[in-house]
Amino acid sequence: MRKSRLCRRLKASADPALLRDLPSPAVRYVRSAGGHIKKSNLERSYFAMAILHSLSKALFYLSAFVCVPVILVVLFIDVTLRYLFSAPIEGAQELASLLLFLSLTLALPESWLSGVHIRADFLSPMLSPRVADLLDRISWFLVAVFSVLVVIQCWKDAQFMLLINESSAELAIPIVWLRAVLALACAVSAVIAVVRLIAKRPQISRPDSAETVE
Amino acid sequence: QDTIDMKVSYNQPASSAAWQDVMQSFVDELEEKSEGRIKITTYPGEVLHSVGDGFKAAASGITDLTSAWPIYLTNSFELFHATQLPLALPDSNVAAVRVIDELYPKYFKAEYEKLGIKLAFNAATPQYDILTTKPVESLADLKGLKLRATGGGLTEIVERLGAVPVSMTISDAYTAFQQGVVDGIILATADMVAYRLHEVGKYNYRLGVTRVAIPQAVNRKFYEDLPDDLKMVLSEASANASVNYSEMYNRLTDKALETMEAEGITTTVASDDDIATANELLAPMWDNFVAANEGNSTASAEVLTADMRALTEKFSAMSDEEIKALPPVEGLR
Amino acid sequence: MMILGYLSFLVLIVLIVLGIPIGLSLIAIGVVGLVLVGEVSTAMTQTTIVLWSEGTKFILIALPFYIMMGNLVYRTGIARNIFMTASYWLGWLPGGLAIASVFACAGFGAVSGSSTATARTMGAIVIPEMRRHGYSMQLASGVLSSSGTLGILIPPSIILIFYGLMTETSIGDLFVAGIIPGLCIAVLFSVIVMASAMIWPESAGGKTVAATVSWRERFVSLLSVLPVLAIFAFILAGLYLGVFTPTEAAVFGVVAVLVYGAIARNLPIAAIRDALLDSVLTTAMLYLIIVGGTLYTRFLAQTGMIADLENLVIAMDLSYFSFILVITLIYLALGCVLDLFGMLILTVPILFPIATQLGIDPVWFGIYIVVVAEVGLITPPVGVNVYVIYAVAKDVPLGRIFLGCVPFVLGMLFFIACMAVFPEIVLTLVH
Ligand code: NA
Ligand code: NA
Repeated sequence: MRKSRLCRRLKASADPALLRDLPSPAVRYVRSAGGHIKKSNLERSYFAMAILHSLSKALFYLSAFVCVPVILVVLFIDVTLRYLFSAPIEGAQELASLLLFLSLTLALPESWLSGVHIRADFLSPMLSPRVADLLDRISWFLVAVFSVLVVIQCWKDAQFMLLINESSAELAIPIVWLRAVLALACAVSAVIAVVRLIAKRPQISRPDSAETVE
Repeated sequence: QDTIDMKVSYNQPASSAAWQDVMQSFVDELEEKSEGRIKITTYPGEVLHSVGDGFKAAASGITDLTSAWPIYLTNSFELFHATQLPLALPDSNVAAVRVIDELYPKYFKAEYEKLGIKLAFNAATPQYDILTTKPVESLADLKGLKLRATGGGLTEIVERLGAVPVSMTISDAYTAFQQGVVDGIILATADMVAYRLHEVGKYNYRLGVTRVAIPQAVNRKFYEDLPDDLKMVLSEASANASVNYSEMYNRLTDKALETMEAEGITTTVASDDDIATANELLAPMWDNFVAANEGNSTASAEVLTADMRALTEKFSAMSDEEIKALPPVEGLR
Repeated sequence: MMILGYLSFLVLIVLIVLGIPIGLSLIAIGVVGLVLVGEVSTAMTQTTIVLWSEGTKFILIALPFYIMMGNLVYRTGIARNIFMTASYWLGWLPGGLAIASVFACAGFGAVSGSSTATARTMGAIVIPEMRRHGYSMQLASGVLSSSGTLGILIPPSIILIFYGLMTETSIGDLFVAGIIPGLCIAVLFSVIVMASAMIWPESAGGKTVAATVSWRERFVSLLSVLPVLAIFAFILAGLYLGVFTPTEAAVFGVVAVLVYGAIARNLPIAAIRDALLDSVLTTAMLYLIIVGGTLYTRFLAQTGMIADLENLVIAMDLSYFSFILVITLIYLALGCVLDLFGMLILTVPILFPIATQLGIDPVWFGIYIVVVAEVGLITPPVGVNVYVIYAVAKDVPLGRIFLGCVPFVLGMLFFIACMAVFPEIVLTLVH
């Protein structure tokens, strides 16, 4: 009962382009099977996708509405105090750099989902839809491989960082936490990439993404 | 016989004195003394990794030998930071590095090797002076000046001397200094000129307040796989490079002072009184260092500081020539 | 190994032309290349090292904030006023608005140290207005991508500092030397704009407004640009009075626009929200291109390809003019895929000594390198300035923006020839 309500809510708040992300094997399976299976299967995929999209959006909002404003405030206060009272905040620049890393990292999954990554469009008008799809699938494959490699490397890095107690120079913030965020963002990106890789329409960049960041 | 491929990377560009006078001769010596069995490819100018990533690059095999400086991984080191305590090391560059070498096997080696690397050789920057746009001729003149200083030790030194530490990347430092965001920079005189800050600064106050250790690291597996005779070759070349580094800095400092004089920069050597006052102001840093590191490591911080003071006194009394004639310190690698 | 370098060049261009996202292409070739010249483990370590070190670079902070500032300025509507005024004053000139935007970029170059930030900030403000005034998007996006490069020629400039430290050349001299070439290029670009507006009047809106505007209206219109002038003056003053660094200036630009928006009550929360979202996404996109470029550069350094090219140059034993011709061709080729820093890191250590041996002044060479490297920012397939403009004008195909840059690329090459014949253009203010 509660689950289906959550499901409805997620569906309501989700990206309208969500259906496009359904994996094509699922769609094929749905087509060949009876109505019952079709509905529940769709529901399940829909639910999974909605969670993925919400997660990506949550990380993105954290980046845009928390990290970036905090950088702004910290640097503004630091510079103002430095100029007016010769009393800069110790570690302000370091904090800003770390937050910059966080904000870039947290925005990665959404950057893939919203298709902001610029690509050459010299050939695209000439390509057949099948070739275009193939190229998109290759791109998603590369995103998946890259993201998985980063997750694995983050795991290795983390062990080394814990061993040597790596932390930021002035504020002594353990760097391992920032690596964990990178790993999380890349894990989400990897799932997105795999889902899109097998989706019905794999498009990696959308022409309308500049206007509609939502 | 098999040749061994070796990658040597470095932060400064191929045109720098540090590369030409120290690293290139080191590479040549390695190739020559190994009779061609070590074949070296060089990567000066941060093309393989940035200087801050030196430890990781050396530990992971991105490079086989490079600069790996504790100042870039402040919190991964405890006792090594003793070398950065105010006025801790001798005035002479050669003597200062000798003191670090003498302390290394007993106090620093475990910390350094924990990062998955071995030491190639120790080096240190010359002592840090203060370049400003406003007149500074005594310690009192520093009061309230905004000085660019990065790194825990330097920040605290600047603060205790009555100035305001401002942290800033070196790429922003030039413009910031030029436009007056900061009034000065604390750096070795030789490096002030290397970073072209003498174009902006007008007063060089030579306080000689601290040094930064800049050891070079070698990949552990690379070192351990070397046959014994080549390990010896590496040791010899390293010992020479270490001395070369100090002497290169002597030359650079002399040249920097000449450049500054030609550009009309007023250079003031801190008076004995000012140094005594600075010592007094900065003394708590020694106590804090001992308190913070007591019981944290295998070796005692208190014994270390006592040792360091004794060694500094001993090697300050010797000439560079006498120190260079001594056999190299045992147990560095 | 060397062959690997040349090959990677080709594969990279093929991937990009096929439509694999640019950041992704660079990362893929960079990582695969690093595996080939090293091992899987070193390539993977490099990847997270680069993600970390590029993502924590303090100077990168300027990017999201200048992008935000551009968006906010546009949303307050003050951008519209600037262009109204510019069209009143410059409307009689063919392509008046485009000329105004060239000089706006030059002006913004005086507060920003980065070319990409300049193109993006001014692009967000200017391009929608040029569209409203009926300018062809090819001209509009071309002029903005190209004029953005004035950001690193007019001081302060991150890349000139970098060159100065690499070659031990006076940074002060480099800064001074950049001013005249920066202004020359601005004038040259204006001439190009005027010429194309006269040849194809419809590309510049097709009409002039001068006849219908009285002098009274002109002077009154100046009042409406006061807010934007005040914001610019505030940043410029803060920079040159030593309140903040060029990087920190971006933060103050945003604060200034927010304050203005609050006073004038024309900056709804939704606009701020959109500006935040857009700046983060665009910066993330650029971040992956920077990461890919760095990985690729680190791979290329190990192939020996650049050293091979440079040995070729040395072997040719060139005279002054043929040296400049040959290295300009090399830089044009490298500029296709490498970014500014990659190009400088890989080439300057070898070419600089040859240049000084030929009696070329180090300051001149620095300005020269920056101008040729700027050309790389607007040539396909990797042209970061074009990408940031593309992010502002998504409906304009990338190919058309690159096409729009062609006249300006030719203009810059012409300017390089002038610099070679009359080195005084660069050196007058210095010596
Ligand atoms: Na500039
Ligand atoms: Na290009």
